[in-house]
Amino acid sequence: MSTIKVDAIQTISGQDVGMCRMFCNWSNIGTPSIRRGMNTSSLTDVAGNTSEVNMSNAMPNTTYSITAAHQAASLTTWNNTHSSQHVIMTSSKIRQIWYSSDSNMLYVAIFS
Amino acid sequence: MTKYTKYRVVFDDPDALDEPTKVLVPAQQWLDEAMAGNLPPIWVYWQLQDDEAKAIEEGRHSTFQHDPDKHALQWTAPRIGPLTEEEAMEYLVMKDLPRKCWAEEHNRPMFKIVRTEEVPSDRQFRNAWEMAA
Repeated sequence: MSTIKVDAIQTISGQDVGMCRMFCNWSNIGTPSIRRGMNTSSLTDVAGNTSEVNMSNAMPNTTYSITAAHQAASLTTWNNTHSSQHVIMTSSKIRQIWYSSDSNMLYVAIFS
Repeated sequence: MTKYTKYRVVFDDPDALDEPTKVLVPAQQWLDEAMAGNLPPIWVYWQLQDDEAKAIEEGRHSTFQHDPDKHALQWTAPRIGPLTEEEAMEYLVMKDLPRKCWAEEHNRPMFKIVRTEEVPSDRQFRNAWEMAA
């Protein structure tokens, strides 16, 4: 298997192409656990509605964009960004706060 | 079959002692990288954290940009070699926990590496939970 290692991808005309730089999918029901992640070193369970995701490798700056969502334990529907806040704390850590208690399915992804 | 680590880190943030005790969950993919010997020396991350902390202190975090050479060290610095799972957990503590937790002396322990089954799975209990002296 081959691995491509690059810092950035550009179009033929030299425009940067945005890429997903990190994602994490986790549950904080019971003992918190990470289902899958990329560029994620750990997750901190802060409280019933607050988690922090630590990145394996820091972003070059803090001007990245985030998408995040959560699914309440009793629901099958997703609540997305209007019911979740995400706070860029540093280039290597983000905090997600959502408006309900423990959630079976949470995710956050970073694009830059 | 994916294996999952048996460890968690419980800690109190000295700057937020009114918050419940926190639980840090290692990412298995990161642990696999650590045990395969693919991590840079820890000072690479500390250097980046220090630069960013200085920018926050000086009120220029919104326009902060890491020094490209220091940032690139995350991939280009010589690797430290394979770690055991326990050594990887210690590395993770020094990378992802607030530095005050482990670098400064307190009158009680601020963090502990524990087995997963030692972490209370009940949220109400965990919210009221404190690390023992």
